[in-house]
Amino acid sequence: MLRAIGLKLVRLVPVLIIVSLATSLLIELVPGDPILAIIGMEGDAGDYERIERELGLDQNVFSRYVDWLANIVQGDFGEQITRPGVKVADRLRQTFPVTMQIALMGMVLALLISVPAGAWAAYRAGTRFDRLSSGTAFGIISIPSFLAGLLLVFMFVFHSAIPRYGVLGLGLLWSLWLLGSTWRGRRDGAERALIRVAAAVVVAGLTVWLANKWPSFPRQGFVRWTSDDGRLENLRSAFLPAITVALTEIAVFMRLLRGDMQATLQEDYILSARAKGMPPVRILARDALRPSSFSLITLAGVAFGRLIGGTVIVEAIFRLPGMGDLIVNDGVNTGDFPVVQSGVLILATFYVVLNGAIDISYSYLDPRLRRAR
Amino acid sequence: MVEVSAPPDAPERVEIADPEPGRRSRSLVEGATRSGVGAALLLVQLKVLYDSTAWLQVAASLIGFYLVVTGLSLLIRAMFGTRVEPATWLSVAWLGVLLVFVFLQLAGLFDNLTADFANREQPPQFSAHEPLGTDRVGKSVMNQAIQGARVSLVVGIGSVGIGLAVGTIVGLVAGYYRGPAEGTFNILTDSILAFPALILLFTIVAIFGGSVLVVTLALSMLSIPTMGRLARANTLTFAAREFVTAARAMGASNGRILFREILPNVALPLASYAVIIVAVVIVAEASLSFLGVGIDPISTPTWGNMISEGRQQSVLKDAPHIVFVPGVLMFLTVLSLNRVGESLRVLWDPRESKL
Repeated sequence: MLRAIGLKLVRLVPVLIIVSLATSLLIELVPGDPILAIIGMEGDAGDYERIERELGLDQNVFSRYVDWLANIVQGDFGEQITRPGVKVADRLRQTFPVTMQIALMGMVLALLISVPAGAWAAYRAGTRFDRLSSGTAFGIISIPSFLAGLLLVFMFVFHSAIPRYGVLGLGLLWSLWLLGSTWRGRRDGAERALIRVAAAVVVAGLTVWLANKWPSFPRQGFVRWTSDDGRLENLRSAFLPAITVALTEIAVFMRLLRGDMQATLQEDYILSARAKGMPPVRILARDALRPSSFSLITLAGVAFGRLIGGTVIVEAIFRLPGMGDLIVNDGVNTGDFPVVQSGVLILATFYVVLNGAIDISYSYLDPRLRRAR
Repeated sequence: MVEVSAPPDAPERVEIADPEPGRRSRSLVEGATRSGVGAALLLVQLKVLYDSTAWLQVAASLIGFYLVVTGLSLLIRAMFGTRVEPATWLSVAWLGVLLVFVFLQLAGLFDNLTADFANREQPPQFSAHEPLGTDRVGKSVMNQAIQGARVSLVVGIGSVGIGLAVGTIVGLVAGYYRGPAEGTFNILTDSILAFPALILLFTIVAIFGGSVLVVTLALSMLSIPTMGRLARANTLTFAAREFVTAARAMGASNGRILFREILPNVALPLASYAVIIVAVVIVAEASLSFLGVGIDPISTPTWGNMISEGRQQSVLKDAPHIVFVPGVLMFLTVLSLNRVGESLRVLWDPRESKL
């Protein structure tokens, strides 16, 4: 196990060096000039050269890269060029949690919705629920995230009646369906019928309550987790970005889990569990989920890594002060290379470490792999 | 990962002699009614409801779209038998329609992009001069959307073409020779893929400017490692097969084994993935344009450029069609490419579809 982790870490080094070197070369080529951004309109050529020398910008790319690398190894991320005195590490500390929160909330939402839906679709393969959910998933995959974001803003911010009545209608339909199943299963005994009717009442009550208390979601104005306005405000302001991020992932995860789960459900031990009279929920959650979750975990890891680096769009739509915003607006646009390099380095490290961790997690999921190693 | 698009009982329904003679005509009638009602709903949505409440419009379009698609599917099934997949053929049809419009545009139609400030932010109306409305300065949304389709297709097909050509060769070599070639290949592809994609694209466009050519080349930078990895993985499995050993035993050169024995086996699965990656690239190009760092919006309208108007509060609120017309076109195109790619994969990639 330790050896596997060590190997992964060793492989991390060349990737990170290539990524950061490529970043500094790319930034060198970007036309923005950070010194002009500092001195503005008043400075003359003398000022320009002085600042250039002070910041070490008169040296070539490679020696600057080596300097930067030497500092990084000592844990010093340096200062922002365009805003002297502002530590890059502080900026990263401010922006990383925002990106992280959106990505995490998106992932949690995606898994919470996709796992039950995918499992149920696999269990009920070929039925109306399966076809409807698979078709919807296929459609959702084809909605680009920026379009999804605008669509959500359009519906939740400008026309909140749409999701509100949508939820109300769907909830009432569900509760009616539950009542219908009570009628269809009227020979199952009084206890079952009672549970179903109770479920129908609860569902109807919850949807009416939700539609009544429908919260309004802000388009912009992110409230930090640590701010005085409280956690609830933070969650409310992060809700739309998180849903935007989650939407595609829900669909992808669902399709994947459904496919794998359907294969698992053909196994003999599932049949024997069924024959013993285990309820389907228990079979799906206890017996079938673990062996079916390999591809899901791989993909979830890749997706999470991508989300950390790829929330630029969501940050642009909802004006979030995140990493993407920092790297693009404060970094690339002004040629502020410490910001870009450190930001990209963090994102890339996160991505590679995450993928390595997933590789290693396989052996926890499947005992057979443990012995093979 | 297996896509079981047909319900499991579908094969049983492939009947040679129709045991139930009334069913075909019944589903013909039902399909025709459904698609008719759906089309009517969409028309009503555009003609009558264009200034009514938004939720009514959205509901009408969704139901109309659903009815049209399911109705056409029923019709296709009834006419060509249950073995065909209606969704795939509908997708092919949509891509065909798009291509026809692109060629019409190349032939000089849909060219007019003059601003007509008096008629700005006109909603879509079938009877009007501009059936899909006008944008914030009064340019025709329809003409822009069709020109945007041209850009999307050129960028998508161009960069995936490059990615397919280069990636296949690199992946073949890495997967066949193994050793240092494979090691270098792995580290390089890891590096490119670990780099946040949008930031890479953003930087390249910032350096070289936002022309169609630059964006195409920049996106091919991303499709090369993707296609290369797939090519390598496929090569690995085929290089261990008996026919390769047999060819080597007969004295075939490495080049011959690579290009005459392995490549033909690898090419088709890769091509089916390439179709899906075209969709990904179209989305990526539009994302760049959406962020305002893609293809220059003044000279070349693209779908992403059009949709990025929606970042302004007022556009999304008062003239949502500026966003949703290109949005729907893009959605349908990406959906169709995904669908076609998926079907081709089931057809061409025996390894995956066997499961």
